[in-house]
Amino acid sequence: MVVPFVSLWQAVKKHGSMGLALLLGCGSALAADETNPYYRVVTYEVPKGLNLEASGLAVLPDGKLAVSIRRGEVWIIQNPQAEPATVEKLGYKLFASGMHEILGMTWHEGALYVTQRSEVTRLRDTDNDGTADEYMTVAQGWGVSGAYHEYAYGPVFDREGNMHNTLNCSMGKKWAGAGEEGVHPVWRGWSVMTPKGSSKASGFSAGFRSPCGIGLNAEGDIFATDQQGNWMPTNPLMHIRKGAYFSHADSLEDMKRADSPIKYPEGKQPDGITVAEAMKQLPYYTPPAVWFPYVKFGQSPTGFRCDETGGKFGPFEKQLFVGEFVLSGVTRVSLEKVGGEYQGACFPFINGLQSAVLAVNFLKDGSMILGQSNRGWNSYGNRPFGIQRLVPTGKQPLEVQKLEALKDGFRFTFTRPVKPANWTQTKAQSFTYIFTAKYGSPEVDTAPLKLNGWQLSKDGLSLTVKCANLRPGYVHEFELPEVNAKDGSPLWHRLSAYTLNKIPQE
Amino acid sequence: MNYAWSSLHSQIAPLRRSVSRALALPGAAALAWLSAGSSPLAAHPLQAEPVNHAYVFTFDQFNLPEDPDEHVIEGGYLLLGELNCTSCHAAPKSWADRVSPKPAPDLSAAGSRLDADTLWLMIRSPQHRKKGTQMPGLFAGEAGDAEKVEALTEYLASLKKTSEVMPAGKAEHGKELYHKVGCVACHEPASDYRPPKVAAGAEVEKPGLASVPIALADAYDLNELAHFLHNPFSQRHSGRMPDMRLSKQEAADIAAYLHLGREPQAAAERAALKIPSQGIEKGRELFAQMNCVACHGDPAGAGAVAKPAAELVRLKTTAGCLAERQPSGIPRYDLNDLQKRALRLAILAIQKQEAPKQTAKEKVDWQMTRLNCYACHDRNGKGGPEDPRAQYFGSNDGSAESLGELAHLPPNLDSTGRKLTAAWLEKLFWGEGGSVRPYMDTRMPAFGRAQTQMLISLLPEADKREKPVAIDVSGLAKHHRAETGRQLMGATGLACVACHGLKERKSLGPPVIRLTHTVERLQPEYFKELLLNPQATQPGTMMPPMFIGRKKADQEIESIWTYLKELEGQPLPEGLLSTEDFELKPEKAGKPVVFRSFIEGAGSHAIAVGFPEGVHATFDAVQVRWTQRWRGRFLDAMSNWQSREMLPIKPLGTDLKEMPKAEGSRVFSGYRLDKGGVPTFLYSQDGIPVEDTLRPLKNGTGFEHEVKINGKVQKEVLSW
Repeated sequence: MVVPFVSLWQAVKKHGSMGLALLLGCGSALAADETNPYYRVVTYEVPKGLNLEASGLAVLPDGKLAVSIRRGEVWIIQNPQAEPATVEKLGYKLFASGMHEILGMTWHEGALYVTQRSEVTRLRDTDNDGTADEYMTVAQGWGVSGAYHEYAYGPVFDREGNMHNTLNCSMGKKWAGAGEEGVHPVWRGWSVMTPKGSSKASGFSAGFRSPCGIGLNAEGDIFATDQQGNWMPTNPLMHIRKGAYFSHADSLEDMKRADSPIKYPEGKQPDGITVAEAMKQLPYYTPPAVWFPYVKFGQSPTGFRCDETGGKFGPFEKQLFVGEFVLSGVTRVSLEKVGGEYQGACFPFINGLQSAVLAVNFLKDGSMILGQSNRGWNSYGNRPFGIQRLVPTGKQPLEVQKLEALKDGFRFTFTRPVKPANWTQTKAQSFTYIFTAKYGSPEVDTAPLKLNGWQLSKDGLSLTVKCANLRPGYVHEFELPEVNAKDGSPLWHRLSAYTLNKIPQE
Repeated sequence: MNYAWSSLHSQIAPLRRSVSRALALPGAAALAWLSAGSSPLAAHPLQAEPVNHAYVFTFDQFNLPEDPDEHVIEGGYLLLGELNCTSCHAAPKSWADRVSPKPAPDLSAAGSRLDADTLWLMIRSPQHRKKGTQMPGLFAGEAGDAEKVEALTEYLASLKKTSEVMPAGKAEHGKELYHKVGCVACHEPASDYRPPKVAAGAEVEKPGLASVPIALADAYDLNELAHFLHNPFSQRHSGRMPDMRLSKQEAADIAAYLHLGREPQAAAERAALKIPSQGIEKGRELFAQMNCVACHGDPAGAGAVAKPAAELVRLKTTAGCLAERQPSGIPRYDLNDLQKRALRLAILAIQKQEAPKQTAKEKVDWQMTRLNCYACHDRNGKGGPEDPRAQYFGSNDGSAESLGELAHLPPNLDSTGRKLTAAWLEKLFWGEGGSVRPYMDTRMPAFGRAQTQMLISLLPEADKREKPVAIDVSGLAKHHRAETGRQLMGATGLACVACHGLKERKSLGPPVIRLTHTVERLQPEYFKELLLNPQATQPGTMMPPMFIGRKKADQEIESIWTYLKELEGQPLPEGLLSTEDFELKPEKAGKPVVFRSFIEGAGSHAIAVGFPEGVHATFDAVQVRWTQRWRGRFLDAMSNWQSREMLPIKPLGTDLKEMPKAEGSRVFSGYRLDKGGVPTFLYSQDGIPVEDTLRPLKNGTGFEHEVKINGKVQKEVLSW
């Protein structure tokens, strides 16, 4: 799940005036009932007495919406697109109950798979009475010590049908009553894989802190989000691959196991170098595909989903929409492959919803559905839980659709043609973070970007700029000037940040 | 109603009072009607002491003969309106609002309420029939008066409406209600009722201020009286008799009590006069000609119009009803000397000058005086019940005693205008559920929209602070957290819950106002003002100064506000939460409850199964076996569902018994629920599939344990 939050004001202090300016700049986006011309927010009415702490959302083949809640139940919403979204019209039906803090759910091969604290359970309704009667354990094998922080997320299935989950590292007091697992719970801070046909999960990639989101992109590659804290200077999005290590040192111990896919690295993990230096010095370190600069691009990313609505949700096809806990919203990510590795950009999308977003999905009509709960931590939206839907109004936003790295600069692609603008007014900087066991990191080694040669394509869709001081391993952050589409509508969000792990050769 | 008591009344009205008083004496108890129970129930005295002048409660409350003119003049303005002088003697424009007349009772169903003889007595000489009445006498025994009285009697007796039949009332309960809900703030308490607070043996102190007369109550038709008490505005639009929010049953109960000892009373004199019937039509015309319509309205479209009376500015203050000796032929009010002095002062002032402008505060005070809010409430040092009446205000909650007066007496209204929101004032005056002090016996009555609209609009201005307290209630902008507020309110925080309940939960201590509706009820600035300095904001409050010296007071108060704003859907503060909220009760569910958590005796992969039969067990998915069984209560899910720390859960019941260790190498694979919800656990033992079920024995004394290995069934009975 998420880190104990650092207050916004601390964050502002930490990030100095730019943080504050950006924060105030997006102030309107923090209003709980913010309206924008592009997406309507539909809030589900919740039956009285039901704590709909929605932790997982699965859209069933018939369009119904399965919702897992933290109290260990699964509810099926019969008409998730109903409006007004009243209890009666939505139709809530309890499908399964009694499980231990479900924090993820997916529909796979005709059944719902939910991740509890200690296992993945496959739920089936074998007698077709509308409630589950079979709770099969389809993945187990990670340790659970009883420490509260040992959350488990997922599952997702890779192209071969293997199951993947992410596991928080252990924090807090272990419980003697948990037996051996109370002494050392295995695979904490790892992602685990359960091969198709087996129910035995084992370590797959390591170095996570609190990998609250796990999901797939359109190509079926697996990604995870994690939380700022020790060894996590800010919030990242990682590309999960077998044997990858993402920096949180608590997971190192299990590399000594015979079934570890990663060899235990010799020597002590350095503490206090920059991320950019770690990328050069530590061959076993895999940097995230995207860093989310703290607060500006979310304060606590959670579950995410790839937009495969075929454009129904907007001009963001195949991009990732990442839930945001503290700011109670959604952040957008566009990825590209450079030198065989994923890297890319993040963009603000929406903030200030009613509660912390834990899960993101899309309904059949292309609207986005968001599961919410802020139990345990605080969020801007101060409702304790709920479900909200973002329904496209038909008016498409003018946005930077994607931001790509070039060998000598960057290319911004807009969602529709823009008019020439005062491009040189763009504020841009690059920075990296400290690779440290301390809690979080400020942006360090910051330098303004030396930009020149702004060029807007003839069709007004793409804008290229040369950058004289590209720095691999650094986040390159932009705040565009006022930009208007040819139809006059303004750019919705002017901020973007590109994680330049590698500079393209071509 | 069955009246066993035979009246001692044999005379006409003026004697009734003393007879009633005799009834209240202990010696009269033997005569009292016996209620369904066994305790004798005496009739209500209606009026203990005669009031020999037209009685306006707040005039007598706030004016004494030794008061200076500049004070008494205010009482004069009050009388001009309350005695309805200005209904006939129009006030100059600038004064019209200040001394606006008070509508007199609506007589459109007078004949249903009172019999002809009572009407006759009341018309002929109101002060005889109802001592202290504000109704002026109109007949001084001139020639033709007897016929006019007869005609008016016939006319009013003909005005009837059928009303709904009210429930049968219980006089005994009516007596309780009458003395508890607030009637005695203005009306006469019975001398045989002892307020619970009066020490045994001590004499019950009698009110010093006269009571508002209710001498017609026992002449009323019983059903109509109940109707009137249930909805006073239907007959009295002025709101001076407020709506006590009585249920129909309660109204009927009080009516039955006030009716106790009633006997139909003939007007002997009327019979003796032998006036021939005058006809209803003549009465109707007279009703208009004599300008009864000016005060009572025109119940049946009387038609003819009276000659207008002299305007207020043209009146002589030594003539008419203000003369030393009132000449005959003009309405007779039975004013006492102080009242006459006050009226003279007021009329002279009105004749001399334009009405002085009143501030919002003065206007509020004026309306509260007219409505007699001061009978119950103190505002800025004025009003509140006198001690002999205050002793009747009680509390229904013993744990409120430690609050002293706060538990009994209606609240001080010093800063109401900046305290309550307009929406809550509307709810309080016009709606339902505006009271937040369920521990008080008395009720906040309704006075009618017309009477209270101006209070709602003027109170905020009247009570505003020079330097308003600033509070940020945006919640979002400043990181104010509902959860922070909840923790502050909890038993280990500032412990607000020690005194304040929330929702359906009582506080841990005395039953102070529940905070459920705080955000709808209070203005946020006042909320903060109060919390920062309770005594200065609400003198006399028992609220402790929790925030003095707290560095983050602003932020904390704002977080509490945020929590109260978001209360629906939020957990209750620590202390108010109880296992009741989260206890899993299979007997209530009516089928087995499966619950996975960290459970003592079953580890971190535990699966508990609770059965409605009251026997329960845990299964450990790591050891892959049943680990323990117990009886009684099942589990409390609070740690799992509520807290962040998620401490292991303990079995709640009794007779906990460990179960034997597993054999072989086992791998857990899940469970299936049968139609009744009973789980069968599935695992392999040394590679062989096993199905393992605990079923409660029908008599609840234990389990039947069924294990199916490779299709072969083994059963054992586990009882303990």
